[in-house]
Amino acid sequence: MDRLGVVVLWLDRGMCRALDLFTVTVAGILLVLLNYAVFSRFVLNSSVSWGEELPAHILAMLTFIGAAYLTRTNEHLGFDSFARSLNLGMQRIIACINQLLMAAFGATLFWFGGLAATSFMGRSLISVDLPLVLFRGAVPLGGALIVLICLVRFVGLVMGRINPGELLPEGDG
Amino acid sequence: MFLEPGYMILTLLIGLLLMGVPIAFVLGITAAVMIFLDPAVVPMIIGLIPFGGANNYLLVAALLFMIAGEVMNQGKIAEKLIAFASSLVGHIRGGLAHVNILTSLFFSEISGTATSDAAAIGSVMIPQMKKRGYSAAFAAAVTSTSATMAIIVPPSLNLILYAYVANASIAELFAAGILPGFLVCALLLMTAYVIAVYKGFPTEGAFSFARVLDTGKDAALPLTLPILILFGILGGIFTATEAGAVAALWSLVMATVIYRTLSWKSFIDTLRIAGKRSAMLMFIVATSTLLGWYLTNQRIPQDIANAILGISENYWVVLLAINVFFLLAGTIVHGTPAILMLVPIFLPLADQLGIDRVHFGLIITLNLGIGQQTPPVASVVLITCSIAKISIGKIIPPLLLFIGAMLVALILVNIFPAIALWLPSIILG
Amino acid sequence: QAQVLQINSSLPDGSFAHAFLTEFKERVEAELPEMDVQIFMGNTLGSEEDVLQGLGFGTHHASLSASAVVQINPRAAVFDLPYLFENRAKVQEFAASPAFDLLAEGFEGRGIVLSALWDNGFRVITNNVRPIVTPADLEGLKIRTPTSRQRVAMFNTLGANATPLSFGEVYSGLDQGVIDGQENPAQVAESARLYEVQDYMSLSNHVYLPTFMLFGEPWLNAQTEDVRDTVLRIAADTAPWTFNWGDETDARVLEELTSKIAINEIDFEAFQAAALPLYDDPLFTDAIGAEMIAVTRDVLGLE
Ligand code: NA
Ligand code: NA
Repeated sequence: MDRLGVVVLWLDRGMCRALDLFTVTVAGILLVLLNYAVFSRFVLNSSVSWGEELPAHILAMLTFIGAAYLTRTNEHLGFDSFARSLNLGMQRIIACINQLLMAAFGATLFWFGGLAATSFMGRSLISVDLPLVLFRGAVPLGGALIVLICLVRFVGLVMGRINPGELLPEGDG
Repeated sequence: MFLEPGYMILTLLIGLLLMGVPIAFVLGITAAVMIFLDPAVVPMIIGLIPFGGANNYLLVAALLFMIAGEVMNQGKIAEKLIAFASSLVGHIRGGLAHVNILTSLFFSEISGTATSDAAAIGSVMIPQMKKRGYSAAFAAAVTSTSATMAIIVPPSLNLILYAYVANASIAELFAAGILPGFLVCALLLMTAYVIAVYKGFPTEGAFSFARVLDTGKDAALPLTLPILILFGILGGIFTATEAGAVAALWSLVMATVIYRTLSWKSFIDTLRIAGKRSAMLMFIVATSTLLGWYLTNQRIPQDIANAILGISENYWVVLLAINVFFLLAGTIVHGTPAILMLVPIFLPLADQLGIDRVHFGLIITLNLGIGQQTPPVASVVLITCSIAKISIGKIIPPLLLFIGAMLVALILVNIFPAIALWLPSIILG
Repeated sequence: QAQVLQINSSLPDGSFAHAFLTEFKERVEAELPEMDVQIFMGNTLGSEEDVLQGLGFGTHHASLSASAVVQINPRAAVFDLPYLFENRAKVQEFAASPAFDLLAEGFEGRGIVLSALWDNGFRVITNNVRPIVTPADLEGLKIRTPTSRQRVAMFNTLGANATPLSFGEVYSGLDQGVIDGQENPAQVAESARLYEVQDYMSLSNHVYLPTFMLFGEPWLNAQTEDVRDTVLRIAADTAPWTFNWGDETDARVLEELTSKIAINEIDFEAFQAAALPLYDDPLFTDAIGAEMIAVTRDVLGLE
């Protein structure tokens, strides 16, 4: 395998591990935060001010970073029966188009989400001093990762290293 | 007027879906194309609205109930519920079928998605049923249809999503789901009994009160979860999100400290599964919010409502049309995208007809629950078929009988809104 | 091509904001027959935060907003200063003064133009423990506030236990005793039927919050000068109509509520004295700015 391929594989593995760690951590943080909010209200008898705003923002962060992770692991929900019924050549062409379309959508998230995120620069959440950019930034970051993942796959498809059947979404029959 | 963008959206949605583009991307790409083509809309909206859709406190509840359901699943709590259900209904003819259905009812009060129920209960019950002489197809069909109760009985992912889309009270929707859930349960039990008598399925020993007490002790602890969830939310003590958090924590304590059935590694797996599923769901929420924004901006839902009301203004005719539409939609689209995409389009129609939003939510949920049971898109059926090791064609005959029972429940809920609305009216005033 | 003006509001159909915007729509369409004014209630075009940001981007045209404006223009927090306005006439004095210009200036650089202040209302306290007459009566009560740092600080300073909660949770929270009370304009207590779960309404009038009629610069710039001026003028002209509407509604609502909830007056001086430290609290002064506070006090004739 050529050197570029090795680098791409190495980066891919690192990215997957980071995304996995992120997903597990964020799910854990939400579990802890919400339970602390309940504990604080009923046991400490004082409501936390960030009880709604912070968890909602963390969930939004999980949404876009997690979307990139699921793009990589091919776990987005979809409808694959029709595409699977086509012949292999057709499947490869459609898979290539799909990756480009997904990359294009990732690019719009990256570009417009990035502009939006920067426009929130310097502002923080109402209830706790955390910059809004930290959360809004998940949109361009997730979008950029989706672009990278889909482009790598597009190249893999064109070069025949990836089988189109592997890229169809998690579907039912 | 609306037909032009309306047809274009429909073509894009169907075309991209058939090509195998993931649903979240189908919705996002369609919205983006329409936004770029419309000179009156500034494309910057793509940077704002998807985040706004995902930034939602109510939907944190979905993640937390997924953690609770997954802990119960990985922590092998289903066995204790099965033993208890067995002591209660095992002596009836076709005992294991009834045990299966009753356990699903217990489990549905903890979990919010039908797929996790089918996996948890099916993996224990289907092999047992096969051993006791039930056909694999019958075992799979019972498991699959009774798992639907998960999305009707609270907590329910579908009802949480509906509350988000329809801006309805989650407490009212949860209260409204209880009786229809019990109704489905009763009808499934009756169907199973008739089939069992006809086929001569066995019973599981005589009824013994001592056994009820004995297994009840074991099941009591997991059954504190639904009590916690229901009283917490309906009593106004917890928000749905807080109830999800407490339920997730309590199920963790049970599985790790009390039963010691959940390893550290399974706990991490639980977080991973729930985190991923939540991201999958939320990305659909995010992109459907963008498409929904475009539809609202173009006032397309109102146009569709007016077009349909132009054909008929009769309450029952339109209600029948809505039911048929969602039943068909449920066969080809998953519950999540169906609610996020279709409910906003049909809400103005329901409002104009004077259908209560909570009642409408239960009608939609029942339709989509039945739709989940039929190919081509039938995740629950596929899970049970793979556990039972049969092809999807084999399950169809017994499945149809149970689907018939669910259709009866659907018709009753349509005709008698009180089945849904009576409990919320007495609990929540 | 038909001109379209889309206006966003976070409040539901049938709310006071809906009434104001309908009046505005009628006035605009009477003068500018080509203009199609479309009202979107209930945040159907996006969250308040997104809409305000979108005004500057041109994705949204106009918005009738309330407390969220503070996030864009901290000077708007001047309305969070307790006991600033005695009555609605004073609010209109403020709107015609240099203080309004200073407030409007705070939107510069955000792509947002403040056209007018419309009514919203004086806020009163309801609870089910005791009538609030002096600040001491608030001691230990869990009072729900919006997620606003200033409002939380205010109620904690007055002796209550401020509990930020989203409005959707208020009714059941009061019903179940998770919170003891809440603060809102009287008409909100009526329309949300809070009197069913509350025993006392104390006319504290601790804060007057207006609504802000905001236009996006990109939308304004895309209009002819004539249209632009007409729309902005009508927005300003509609303001007195909304204040009258507010005064009349307050009177009607209080009359309707007398049979449903015990209403009492408060000891204004005691409350004003208790709230005085807030005028030097950095949480307020840093956000609002010394100049904004000084000019406001000046135009209102306060010491
Ligand atoms: Na459930
Ligand atoms: Na289906």
